[in-house]
Amino acid sequence: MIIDLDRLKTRHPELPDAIASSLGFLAALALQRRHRPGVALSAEVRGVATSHTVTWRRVQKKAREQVDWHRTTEDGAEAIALGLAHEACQWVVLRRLQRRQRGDWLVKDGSGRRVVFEIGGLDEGSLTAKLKGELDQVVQSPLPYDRAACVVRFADVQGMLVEVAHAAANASR
Amino acid sequence: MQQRTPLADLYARVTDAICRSEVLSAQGRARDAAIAYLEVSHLEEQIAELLPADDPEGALARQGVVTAALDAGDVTRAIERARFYARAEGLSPAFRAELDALRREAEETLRELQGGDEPKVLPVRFTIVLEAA
Repeated sequence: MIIDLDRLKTRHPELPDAIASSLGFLAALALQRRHRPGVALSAEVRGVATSHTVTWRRVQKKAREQVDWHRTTEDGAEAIALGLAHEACQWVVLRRLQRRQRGDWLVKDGSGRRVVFEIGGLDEGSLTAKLKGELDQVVQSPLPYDRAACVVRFADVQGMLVEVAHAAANASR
Repeated sequence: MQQRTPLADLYARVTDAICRSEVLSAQGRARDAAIAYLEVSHLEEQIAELLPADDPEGALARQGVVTAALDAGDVTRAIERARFYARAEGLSPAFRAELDALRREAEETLRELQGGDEPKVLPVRFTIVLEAA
């Protein structure tokens, strides 16, 4: 299972070219702090352990100095999470959500089912704590759809993707 | 090649505008970010015209018109659109509550911009003179 950060657009055709390129570039920058193209991503997706290979075109060192560290981590995680969500769940992007809309993306699966998708990234630290923070936010969405959150940690290239059914999210609102 | 629907086209455009506004905002380019947020608000309005209020994504777009107007600093647009959309039939209670909260926030911001809660009314002394017939 290969997640090619330079081909995010082929997985998410509705993602504008510039956004797909930008997210892929930032993910490459974040990964290159410690890793090389072809690194293994271990992810727990809806409770199941999965393994993937992440590839990208190497980015010049100079580019790293021009981008904010925090943005690289957060937006870089989006590229990996969107790649993982497509690879493991067959989700595709419908649209971006605004900051106050309590989710990052509205995605759909092959049957047309909508999911409100929240993504977080961190360089080091607790994946589960980060995931809880993202879940707390996305369950507040007023959309009557299922919710999901995915977090990516760059230090050891680990990820977690959790889905919450709409009824369960509604109960916790 | 498959023809893109008007909604898919608007979703791609609003995605682009939202991402742009986030980047500009993070870079501290407030004026450019405000212009981008206003573009988001107008794109959300076009989506709202395509989808009814009882469609979850139609309701989302109506909320999006108002949140983006607030982020653009256009509080009068935020108040006017929030009042207009709150009257829409079929809007879910959750989205109605969201719109009401956003309207209150916009009205509070407008009051602050106008210099506080005090009404700008000054007492004027006057005399009524009754003339005898």
